[in-house]
Formats: sequence, C-alpha cells, structure tokens
Amino acid sequence: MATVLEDPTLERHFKGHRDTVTSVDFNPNMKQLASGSMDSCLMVWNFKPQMRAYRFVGHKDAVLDVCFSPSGHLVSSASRDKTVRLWIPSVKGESTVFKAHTATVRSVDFSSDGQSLCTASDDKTVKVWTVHRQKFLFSLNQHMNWVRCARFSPDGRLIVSGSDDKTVKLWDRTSKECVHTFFEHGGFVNHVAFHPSGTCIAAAGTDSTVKVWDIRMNKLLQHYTAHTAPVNSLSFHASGNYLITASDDSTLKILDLLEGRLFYTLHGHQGPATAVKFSRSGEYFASGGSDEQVLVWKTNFDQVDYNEVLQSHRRREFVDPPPHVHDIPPRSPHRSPARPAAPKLDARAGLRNMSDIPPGVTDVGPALFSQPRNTSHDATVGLGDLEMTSTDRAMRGDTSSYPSGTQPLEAQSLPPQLSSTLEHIVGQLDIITQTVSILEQRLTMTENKLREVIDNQQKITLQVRPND
Amino acid sequence: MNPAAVAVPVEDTHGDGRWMSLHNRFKTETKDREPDVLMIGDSLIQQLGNTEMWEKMFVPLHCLNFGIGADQTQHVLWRLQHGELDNINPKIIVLLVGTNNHGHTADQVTEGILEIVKCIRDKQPQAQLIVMGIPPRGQHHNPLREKIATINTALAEKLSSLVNTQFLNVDPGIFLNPADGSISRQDMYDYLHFTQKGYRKLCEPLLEELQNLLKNFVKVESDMGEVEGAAAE
Repeated sequence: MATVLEDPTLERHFKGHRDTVTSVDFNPNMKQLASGSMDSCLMVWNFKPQMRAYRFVGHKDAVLDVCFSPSGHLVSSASRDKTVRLWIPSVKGESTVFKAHTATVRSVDFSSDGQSLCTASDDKTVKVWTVHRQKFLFSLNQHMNWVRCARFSPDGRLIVSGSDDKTVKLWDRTSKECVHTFFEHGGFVNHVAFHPSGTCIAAAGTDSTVKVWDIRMNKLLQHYTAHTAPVNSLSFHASGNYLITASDDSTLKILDLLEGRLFYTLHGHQGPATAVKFSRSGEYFASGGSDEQVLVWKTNFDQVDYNEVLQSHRRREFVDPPPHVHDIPPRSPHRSPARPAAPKLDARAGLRNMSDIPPGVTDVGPALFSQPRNTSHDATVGLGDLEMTSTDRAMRGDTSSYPSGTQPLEAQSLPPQLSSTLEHIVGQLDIITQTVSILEQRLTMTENKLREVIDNQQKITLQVRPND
Repeated sequence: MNPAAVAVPVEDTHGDGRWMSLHNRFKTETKDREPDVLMIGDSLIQQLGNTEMWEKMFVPLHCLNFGIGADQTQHVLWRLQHGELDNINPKIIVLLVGTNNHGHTADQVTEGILEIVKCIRDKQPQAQLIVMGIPPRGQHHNPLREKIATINTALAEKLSSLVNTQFLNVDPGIFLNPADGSISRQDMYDYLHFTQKGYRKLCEPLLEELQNLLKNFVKVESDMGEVEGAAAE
C-alpha cells in the first residue's frame, strides 16, 4: 500500500456556490475560508463542522477575486460590477463598497501591513488605495490591455501585475515606476504571485505554462509546461519550495521548485480548476472550480522530511528499483534518465464515498430574506439529533438547513497490489511523456543548429565566389 | 418566401456531424470567454483565425471567431438564433456572409443578410455591428462578381439608415489587377479564399475601424511592411 501519510489528502468539500468558483483565500486565523464566484456571491466557510457558512450578497455581477486582510478581520472582493467591497466576515456581514475602476475589477490584494489595497482592472490600470476609508492613492498606467492580476510583494515595496498585453510588470510602490517588464510571448497571463522570500515571481499563462522569474537578476529561472490547458491560478507554499497550480485541464499540480519538476497531480474537480491557494502556513490548501465546488486539502508532504518523501515516491513508482537508486543524492540537480514520476491522486474516488452533508448556509446581505430560516449557529446539536434532522429534512427535500458535517477522506478502497500496479503504469507513462518532450526539445535545438550551419555555409560560398 | 432569410441548420450530408460540433463548441465558448469583438460568417471569417495576423492583431482585442466554412445566410441566421449570441456582451460584431448562397438571387441574399442584421440588433442592441462587403471572387470577370456587386450596393444603401450599424466595403479594386480585372493568386490562392497577404489587405480597414471603436490601439512591431517588397511572381 502506498504511503498515504505524505500525500495531500482531501479534508473538506464545500458546496453552495451556484456558478463557477473564481477565487479562494484562507483567513490567517485558519478558522474560515472565503470563496468568490460568478454567481456574484462571496461565501465564507467555517472549518468547525457545526458552524454554518455565510453567503454575502451585494455585488451585482460576478465576484472575480477575494482576499482576507492580514488580521483576518476583513475580506475584500473584486467584481465585474466595477466595485470592490470590504466585508466583515460575521453573521451581520457589514460591508463598504467603493467604485474602484471604470471596468471589471479583476483582482484585489491587501499589503502585508493591512494598510493598503491594490486592485487590477480591465481598464488597463492597477490602483492602490488605503484600507481605512478606501482613499485612492495612485494608479499605475502602463499596461496596454486588461490587467488580470496584481499582487503586493511580501515586504510591500513592490507590486507585480500580469496583463493581456502579454507582459508581467514589476512596479516600485514608492516611486510608482515600472522597474521591469517581463515578456510572456506564449499567451495571456492569468495570475501572478510573489515567492515568500520576495526574490522571485511566478506567472500562470493561457499557453499552459508556468514561468518563474528572479526579479533581482530579471532572468527566467524556471519554465514548466506541466499542464495541457490554460493555467488559471497559482500559489506558493510558505516554505517557498513548492508551487501549486490550477488549470482548465481540471487538475491541480504541485511543482517542486528545488528539483524543478512536477511533484503531484491532483484530480478532484469535474471541469476546469479555476482557483487555488495555500494557507498562510502551508499546512492546507484550497481549490475551486467551474463545478461550483470548493475543496480543502491537507498538504501533508511539507510535514515530513523532504528526502523521505522523495524516497517514498521512488518506491512507489518502481516495482524493481534500478540498481543505482540509493546512490542518487537526494537534492543535487542530477540528470538521471529514470526520474521518479509524480504520483497522481484522484479525489473523485473518495468524493463518491463521502456521504457529505453540505454545511448550512446563512444568507447575509441586503434584506433578501425577511428572517433567517434556521436556528442560530450557536445551538449545539447532539449527534442523535443530527442524524434525525438530516434524514427528516432529506425527506422534505429541504436543502438549505443541513447541519454541517464532513468526514475525512478514507484511503482508497482498491486492493493494494492493484493500486500499486496502476500507479506503476501511470508512473511509466509519465516518464515516457517527459522523455518525449525532452527529445522534442533536442530535435528543435538540432534543427536550429542545422539552419545556422546552412546559413553560415551560404554566406561563406557567397564570399568565396561573389561574382556568380 | 425567401429561402436565404429563413433560418435552417446545415444538413449533415457527410455523416460526421462537424457543423453541429462546431456550433456546440461556439455555444460553450460563449459561456467561457469574454469577447469584446465577435466575428461571424463563413470560411472567409473562419480562415482568418488561422493567419499570423490573427494572433498579433485580433487576439489582443479579445476576439472570438464563429466562422464556419460553406455557410450561407440562412445557416448563420440559424446559429445566431440558437445560442451563439447568448451569454456574451461584445462591444463589436463583425459579419461577413453571402458568398456561398449559390441558389439565391442577389435580392434574396441581401434580404438574408438584413434578416441576420435584424437578429443581431435584437439580441445585442448595445453592440456596434460592422457588416463587411463580400469580396470579389473568380480569377476573371464572371457573373458572380456582378451579383456580389449588386448585393454590396444594396447593403450599403439599406444599412446607412440603421443606428450602431455600418457597412464596411473593402474596395474590390485592391484585389483586381487594373489591367484586366483579374485576381492574383497572391491575394486569393484559389480565387476565393485569401492568402496571408490577401487577408492583410482585407483587414487593414477593418482593424482600423475596430481599434477606433474600441479605443484600443495595439502597439505591435510592424513587420508587415517587409512582405510587400517580396519579388513579384
């Protein structure tokens, strides 16, 4: 049986959105998760099983980005209705709204001191505001097309923005100048993020690639083509060693930045995965998709010593380990031909097993409902009552008042030999795919070299016989 | 009853259902994408999506291409009435259709196009509509060219009175050799469909109009100039 301990496990899955989930963010106090969706609502989910979720109504059009403030007291949401709202994530759900841009607001981010907000919009600008009183501070105007994402650096001195003009721009917040532009020739940039150390940035592109640049040297460090469809979102792990990405190909992929390769592929969403975020500590991560679900996973692999995780991956992928496996030093950049392939995890098998009861949802917002339909969330419900209530309600077809309850994902129910053989096969396929892509790269390099040589040869013949 | 103006889907004579697959794909795209510009029509629009110019000049404007080869006016009308205008809110719609309506007279085709215009106006009242004039076809002068010219004149007249709608007729003279009125294979490789060079000529005025309307002036390094200097055949 594969060592499940180090693999990410699905902890919760939240249903309640009525359209594609666009963005997710953890509350730094780790008690709540916020998610925004095309259904114009912001939902705040509570991790305590008994507690209800809140649906905040107020935006008039799709919510495209959500962000908790560093203190956890505020949630900001950016919407297609050109406004940004700041909410207090409680049952009262008070909010202030301000019209931030003249077109769809695509992203919103708090600075690490919680004093400023930066927003990016289809009106080609990035604007910075104070949180207190939402005062406009300044705007950054050099993009030529929609700006899809803007983020503060961890120290708050830089802002990175990604745009449909195929550039990623780095701005100095004090001087308001664009200090560098990175060109992304392949396609549009959907999402950008800073590495926790503040020295690198990553960009997710519609050309299915993820690029990592060093911003001190302004050089491309890494380039991953792990996905087969546009990459929608990405998030760095707190350690800075891993990057998780979500793509239209419905998978989440965890990339190992030290080794420079794919680490895990996670299935679980039916349809494009549109949002993903690590928690502040990296212990959990959440993902959202066009299947309207929000999934919360426990990372697990960051708890165990990195070498052991690599060892367990290798053990899993090779039934007969090649003779030299113990000679490979764990972390040096090696060019071994048989690289252990990234394990694939499919949460769907587990999801079908979960008799999950979606958490009760309280709708919060301008008087849409005359009174809350359910008892307050403070009332404790005994376990026996829980069962009765749920079946009772089920018979009546009332979907809005299930007490929340989830079960942790059980280990997969396949016989161990079958699952290890399947994983072995999948691993071999992964290796074949990687080999083919390396061969393609070599072929392209050879063709380029050949063309150069032919050109040079022509030049030489012209020089030798200029009069022909 | 004008057959060119009555919405009808394409009959799947080959048996592989490609037309319907394309239509369904377009319907999905209306849900996924947020186009500012929508291009609809027949193969002339469809093949535009394959040119280099598409990537450089049209994609940054957030364009969507709903062209299907061999489509006649009644087929485009059916597609628009059955979901290809739902869920989206484009600022500009570009229409080019009519060259495939072989069984119909010039008047019937004109009416067919006007019927499509009406449908677009109903479903997308906020969008600016640009109806493109049908380009000439055939290597030498032929009756189809006359039919096309008649349609274009009629359209220019009928569309001038509509609000938010304009008729963009690319001067046929730019494709015709001034000496004998023939079309060069450099512009249309089969005297109907455009080459890269032909599309550049066709789309220059279109792009200008799009950028004016969107107020979005795309800065692109101009390497288009160098092809004009290529040696003539």
